[in-house]
Amino acid sequence: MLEALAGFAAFLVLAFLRLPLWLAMGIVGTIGFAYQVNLKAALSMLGHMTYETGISYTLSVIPLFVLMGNLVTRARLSEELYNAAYAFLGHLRGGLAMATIVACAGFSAICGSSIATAATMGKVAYPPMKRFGYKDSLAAGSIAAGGTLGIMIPPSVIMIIYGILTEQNIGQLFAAGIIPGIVATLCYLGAVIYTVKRDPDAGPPGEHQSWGARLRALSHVWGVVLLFALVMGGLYGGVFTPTEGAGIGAGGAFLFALLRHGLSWRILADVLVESARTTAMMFAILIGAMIFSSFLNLTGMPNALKDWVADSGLSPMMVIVAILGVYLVLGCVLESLSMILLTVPLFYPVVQSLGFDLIWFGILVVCVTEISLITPPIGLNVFVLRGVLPQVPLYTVFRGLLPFIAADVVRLAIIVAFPAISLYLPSLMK
Amino acid sequence: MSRDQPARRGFDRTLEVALGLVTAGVLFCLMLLTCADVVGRYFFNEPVTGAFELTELLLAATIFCALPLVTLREQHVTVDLLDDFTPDWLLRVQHVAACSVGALALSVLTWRLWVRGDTFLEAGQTTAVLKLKLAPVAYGMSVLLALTVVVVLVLLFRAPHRAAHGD
Repeated sequence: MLEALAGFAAFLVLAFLRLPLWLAMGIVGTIGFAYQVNLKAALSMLGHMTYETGISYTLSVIPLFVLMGNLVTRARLSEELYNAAYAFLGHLRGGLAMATIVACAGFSAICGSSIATAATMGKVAYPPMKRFGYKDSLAAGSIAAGGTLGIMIPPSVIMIIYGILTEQNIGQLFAAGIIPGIVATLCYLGAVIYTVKRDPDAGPPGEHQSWGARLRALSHVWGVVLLFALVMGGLYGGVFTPTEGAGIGAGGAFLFALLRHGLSWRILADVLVESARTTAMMFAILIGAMIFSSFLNLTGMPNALKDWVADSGLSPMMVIVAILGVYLVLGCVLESLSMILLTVPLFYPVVQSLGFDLIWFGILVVCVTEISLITPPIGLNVFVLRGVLPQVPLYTVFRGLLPFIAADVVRLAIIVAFPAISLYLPSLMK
Repeated sequence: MSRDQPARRGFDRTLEVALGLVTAGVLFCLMLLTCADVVGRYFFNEPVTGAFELTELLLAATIFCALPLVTLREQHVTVDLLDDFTPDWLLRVQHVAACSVGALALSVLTWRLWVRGDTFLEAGQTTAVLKLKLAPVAYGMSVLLALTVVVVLVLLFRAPHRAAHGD
């Protein structure tokens, strides 16, 4: 137990040295392993973990979903989504911000990353909001918050990682995310309504559109619907493994990009390299975390934690609330992927021993991860938005996000209180 | 990347173009392979032989080819929260320390994967279906890690890249 805490402390020191996190985790994991067993075993574990993680079939789903998201962005499906949402909601007060949220939700259905969703929708949704005189706080806030839906509505890279760590079925996790994703979208719409109620100037109404124009705009989103139906339908119906679903999704997105905008060789190469970079970045963290976990398991910390919880006399629900509290605090200071990789292996045996469903817990983990993406001081989505909208000050974005963070807390409470929201759809799959 | 001088840019560009093309090709093949396998299986009743292990090999190639590229652009997730408050001299010290430790750690990893390659070679390990030799895979990982060490050493002699959050 003491060794584990020393390991975490050493990891933090190295991380603040500005060593990339994956190396910090790997170094501490290897040295810790050597201390617990011996140097020879540690070195052989190091080679084993790196090789096996790099060549794992289950993990090949990650580059394919990342590629699908990037190709979809090039196919300009994001603009059509926004136009359709705008046609229906734009005339309302705050309607453009609502359209942003709904378009983000739609984009999330074909993209597994929150950061990509925020970056893509930022480019599409910000200019019209600026044109109609939206306040920057609401405009940027709705994009940053809407972007977080990327990892809740399937496909989701974070769910894949969670599924692999806890040996849960990825298709079921994806199915579990659909209704919570819709609940999240509704909560965010509530946050927009609240914002414009308090400050009607924050979001003036846009133009009213006829039903003919609305239906026309809606008919343009068939590409998104088709891709989502293909990938999720295949996974849900058990036709594909997740890797195959992701491959088909990427292939479909490739065809769309090709047909829509005459994908040039250069752009194709850029998209591929960008996807490979993101993949390598994530795998580096995965490898580091796997090495760190091998050390952590040796220290007996996961079991010690389980015993400690069992002896503490806390009610199971209090344990869940405490774990979520830990996540909310950690989410403020740690990057989301590393947070999940470091904590899920510690927490899930506890949660499982208390008799909770790990699919449900996975949805909770995704939910707190979403919150971590928009909470100060290092909400990652906020910084991504700064790259897209450099003129909007950080402070303004965080202020605009407050109602959305409140909406997230409400949603988290709903998902904790009603497990059926997460578990109904996966229960149909068995 | 405009901060770089021409000589440095030569190294960066060569690496990015050469390795970038290989990486792009490998990932594209991974996509085509998965699609061909699914389409072949469901429509022509003929899956690609060894698709499972080819997927694994292409995944490994994607990751390890992209690793030097990610490292070169300093895209690895790093705690740069405090960069806004760190004075220049301290940032420089951090940078030199992080690059040195990083290069050392990556060198150990390079060595371990080479050893793994040796083990595979002696045991004559191959994949299950296509009987592809596994030793070159581990050797390849090792070589690309060695290239990553070179990249980190190049970065060591450059000015630290202060985090402009979100770029």
